[in-house]
Amino acid sequence: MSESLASRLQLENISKRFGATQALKGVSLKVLPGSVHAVIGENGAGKSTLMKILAGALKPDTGSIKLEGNPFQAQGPAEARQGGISMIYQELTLAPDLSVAENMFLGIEPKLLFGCVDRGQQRKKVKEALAFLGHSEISPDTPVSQLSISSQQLVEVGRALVGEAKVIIFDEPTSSLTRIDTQKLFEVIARLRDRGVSILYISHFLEEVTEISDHYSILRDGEAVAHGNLKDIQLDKIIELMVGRSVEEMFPRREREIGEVVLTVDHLVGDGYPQDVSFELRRGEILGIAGLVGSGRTEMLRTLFGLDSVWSGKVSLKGHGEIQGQSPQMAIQRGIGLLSEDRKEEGLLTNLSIADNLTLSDYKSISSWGWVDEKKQIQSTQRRFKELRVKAREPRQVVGDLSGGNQQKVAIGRLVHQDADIVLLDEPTRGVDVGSKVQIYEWMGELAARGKAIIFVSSYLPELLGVADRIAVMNRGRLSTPQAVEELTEEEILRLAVMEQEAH
Amino acid sequence: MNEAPLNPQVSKGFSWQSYTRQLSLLGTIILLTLIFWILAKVLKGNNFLSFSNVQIMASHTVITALGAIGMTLVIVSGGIDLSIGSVIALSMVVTAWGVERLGVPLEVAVLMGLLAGSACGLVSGLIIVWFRLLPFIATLGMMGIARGLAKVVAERKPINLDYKGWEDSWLKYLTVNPSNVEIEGLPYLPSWILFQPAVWVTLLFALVMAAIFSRHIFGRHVFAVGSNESAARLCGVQVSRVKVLVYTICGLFAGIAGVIFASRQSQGDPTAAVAYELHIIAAVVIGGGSLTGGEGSIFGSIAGAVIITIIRSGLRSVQVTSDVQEILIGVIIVGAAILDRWQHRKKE
Repeated sequence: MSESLASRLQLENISKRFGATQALKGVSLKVLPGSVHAVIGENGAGKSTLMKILAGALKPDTGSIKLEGNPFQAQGPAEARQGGISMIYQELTLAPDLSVAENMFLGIEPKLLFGCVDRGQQRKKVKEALAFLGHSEISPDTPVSQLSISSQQLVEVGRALVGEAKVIIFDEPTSSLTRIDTQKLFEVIARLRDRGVSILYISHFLEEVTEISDHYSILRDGEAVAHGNLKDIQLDKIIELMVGRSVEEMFPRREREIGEVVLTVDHLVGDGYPQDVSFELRRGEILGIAGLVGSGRTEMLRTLFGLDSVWSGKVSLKGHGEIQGQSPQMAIQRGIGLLSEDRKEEGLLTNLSIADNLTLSDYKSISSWGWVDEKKQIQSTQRRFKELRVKAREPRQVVGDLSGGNQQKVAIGRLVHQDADIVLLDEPTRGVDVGSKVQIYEWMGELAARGKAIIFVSSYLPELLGVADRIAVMNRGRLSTPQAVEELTEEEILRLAVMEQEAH
Repeated sequence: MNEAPLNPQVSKGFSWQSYTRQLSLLGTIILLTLIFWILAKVLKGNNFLSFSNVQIMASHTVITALGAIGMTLVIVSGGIDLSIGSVIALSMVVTAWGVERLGVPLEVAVLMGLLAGSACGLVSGLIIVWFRLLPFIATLGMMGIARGLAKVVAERKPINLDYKGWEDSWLKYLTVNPSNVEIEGLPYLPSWILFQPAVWVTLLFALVMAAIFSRHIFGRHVFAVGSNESAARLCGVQVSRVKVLVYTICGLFAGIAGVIFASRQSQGDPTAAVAYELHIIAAVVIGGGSLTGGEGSIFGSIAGAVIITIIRSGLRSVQVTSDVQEILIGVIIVGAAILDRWQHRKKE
């Protein structure tokens, strides 16, 4: 980067310490106008801390921030937004009952006399913004709750746009988007970039990062270990820099034997979704389920687990025959385990201890007469720590304190503790760092090799193709016939995932 | 990536955080006692820490503490029970009514009182689970229902327990303060018992419930439900059953409190225990119970009940009127809740 190019945003020597952990150690970073700058790093590398500092949610211990050459120190998110730095958070922060226009102008409403909102002006600007983003089909008056996740995200982007943001930070924007919506978002980002907005793009999905970004900075353990142009670096090299070790093989394949059928699903219809789903699952098999978000994959797992009700169809379990009116508790007793896609809302009890989280679904095995044997509980927790390489201080630590990857390992550890024979995994690697991902793939391979059967729902096609034995595609609640992974390509899966929608 | 080092000291189900919390509660109790002791001495020349005053305070704590045991379960499960004061009054009245009006044996009457309390809790719990009502609304309704029922049963005036032999009954003895002097015709307990039996009974219940709460599967399930209901369901916890049980147990403890109240007052008063839900909820919150669920402990709540008694009786001993006492209790509830929020914010 030549000195003559004035940087839009310049971070110098930013450090931040939380108690005993040094979250950031002298990070410097330069973002050019009209460019997309990727901030890459494993979970816990310090990306979120850095972005929170930029967005004014945290104060750095040392270092300075310059926006267009002027010192910038926001006292809070609102001030950062006024100063020209907007953040699009992982979890959307819209008011669901307000309209698109009201949300976009929340806090910066154009005023008439006596503080009345100038609705005409507001609508006009919102329409302009949506048109600029290439989504004029969204009406300014629609309540946000009626929009899809990806459209809601556009409203967030629109909010940054009408606030005349100079820098927009995207924090894992695609984690809940389908491939198609991701492409749409990338078009929006490209438009913003062409308008001269600087984009900071944070993501775990490296393929995406290389697709959209111009420059990159890699964080590892709170330090910026590399900067540069993305066209000058290979994907493998990025991973190596991120994890600090070479990842020989993202998807380790283990030899395993596929055995007899353990689960037969016959014309299963649930409450809305799934619609007429049939398949067989075999011992030692990993069955991948692809499909768009909202296509009914989660609902299928929930129905199989007894969280959602079965309307018609048959589910037969080896050793139990046809099962009816199953509750989650019965499912667990029958050896079925479910990993929820939503770790925070449904997967973990974040203010309880790791030990309780790991053993909750099967207290019986560590208790007598209903009394939990704490010694056994701690022992089995420590065993899981070892098996899954959980990084934690001690078993009594509160789960909410752990990093995303480690939280996910705890959620997975619960299935291990439960010793489930049929494991239903809903987006097990979402929001998880590369290192933990590989460990999760390894664990899945190991389970299958031990004769367990796995249903693996994922929106990330490379991992489905890399890990599963067979893949079926969910489309509007219907499941395609599972096909051997060798016979499938990404294009074919995508075609199956959107086929019906195009016909409609 | 290696195995995390484990601190053997911390692995005994004992966390530093709860330890500091218990210490700070104990510190608060000592500090408040000291303050009121000095104030009472200087301003009024009374001995706040006299044997008889401590006995009285202990006996006052009993009702709040019993209620707080049940309320802790409810609050940790993520709910709240506003009906507890009314339910105490109802079971108090039912007990007295059973003996005096129905003429059943005392044991049967006590059982009726306990059943009345449990039934109120059971109904609240079922309504919350079946109709998915907010606990706030369901128990607000029960608050009116139980109070009204108490008045109907008692025909609007206290039922006095004055049958022949009442003064010598085991129930009356529960609330007899031990003393050095035996007065002819009055129930007597020797002073080595220190506190009235009801205090010891309450402590025993607290011990049992604390053990269940922290070690038994049921207790852990209560925490799970309060911490994250959908995650608990996913883990096979029978959420509805846990909730119904929690409210029923809370009702049972309200029943126990009511029976002991009847013993203390020697009557069943339908207007008793008004606004006790506030003191009881305050005790739980002061003791570390989080109104968002998932946090709280029995002994914390007991300490909270002790703190409330000390404040009330301390204020009384320096002759602050009961209206001002109410104001201060209100301030303390809000203060404790703010402190709780702060601590949560700090954790994040």
